[in-house]
Amino acid sequence: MANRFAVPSIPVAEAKRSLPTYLDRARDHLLQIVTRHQRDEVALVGLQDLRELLRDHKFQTDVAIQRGEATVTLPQFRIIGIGQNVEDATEDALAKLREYTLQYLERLEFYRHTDRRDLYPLVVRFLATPEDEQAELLLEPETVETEPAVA
Amino acid sequence: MKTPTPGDLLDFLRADGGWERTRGTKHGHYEKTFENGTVLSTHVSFGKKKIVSPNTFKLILATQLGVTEDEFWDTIRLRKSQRKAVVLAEANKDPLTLALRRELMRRLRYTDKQMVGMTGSQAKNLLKKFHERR
Repeated sequence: MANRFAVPSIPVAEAKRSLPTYLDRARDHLLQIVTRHQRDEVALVGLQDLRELLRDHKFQTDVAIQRGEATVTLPQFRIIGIGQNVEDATEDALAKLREYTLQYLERLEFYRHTDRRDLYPLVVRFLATPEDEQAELLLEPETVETEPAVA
Repeated sequence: MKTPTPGDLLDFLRADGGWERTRGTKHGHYEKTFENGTVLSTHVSFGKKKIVSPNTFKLILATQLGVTEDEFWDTIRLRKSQRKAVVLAEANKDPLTLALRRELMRRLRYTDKQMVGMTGSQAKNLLKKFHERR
């Protein structure tokens, strides 16, 4: 069967034999497709490339501060982090988001048929980020308006 | 305004019906799915708090449960769903974000106390003025 892709298409047996070579190529930004029985097709992409692909998928946040209580809402996920202050509320929202994203992937087939299907890129972006960097995803500016223009 | 405990919230979910606890979640995550594909979700956990403020209760009603305050309490009292429709609030179009809050703290030394009730555009205006002065 002819290769259906412009990029290398590798049978799984060959991929297993020379995995380090294909990982090196993925690290060098080469997109490769691993195939099994000419039926299953899986892309082999470097993690940094995946994160780059998803970088425009931003996490919205909505902070509400009151006396003795704060909330950090993640409106796309309808998650509300609650705490005595913003730090506590952010920690609560992050913990809930971690749980949610993991179970979202487990039940992806279900969510694909719901109003939550568009959350998939955000979920993958969150899970493809090391845990100690996930909080930074909630701090990304939505636009450049908060930063001074660079001449 | 009376506000619920996590126990009240759980009572509501049981009486409203159709809510299922998601497997493997420690924070008590529940979901309810409608035939049109709408998914409601909530957490029977208020972080480290036992009770939430009226504003946060309103946020839970509008963002997660899709019922009015009266429907919420009547559902618990009558042990039967009193939901007339699913009405979820649109996301706040002008929120104070975590990024804006951090910028206000870093650049203008603002405290959370000074940001009570602040909107996103108010925060952006303050930052714009700050950058113009530099």
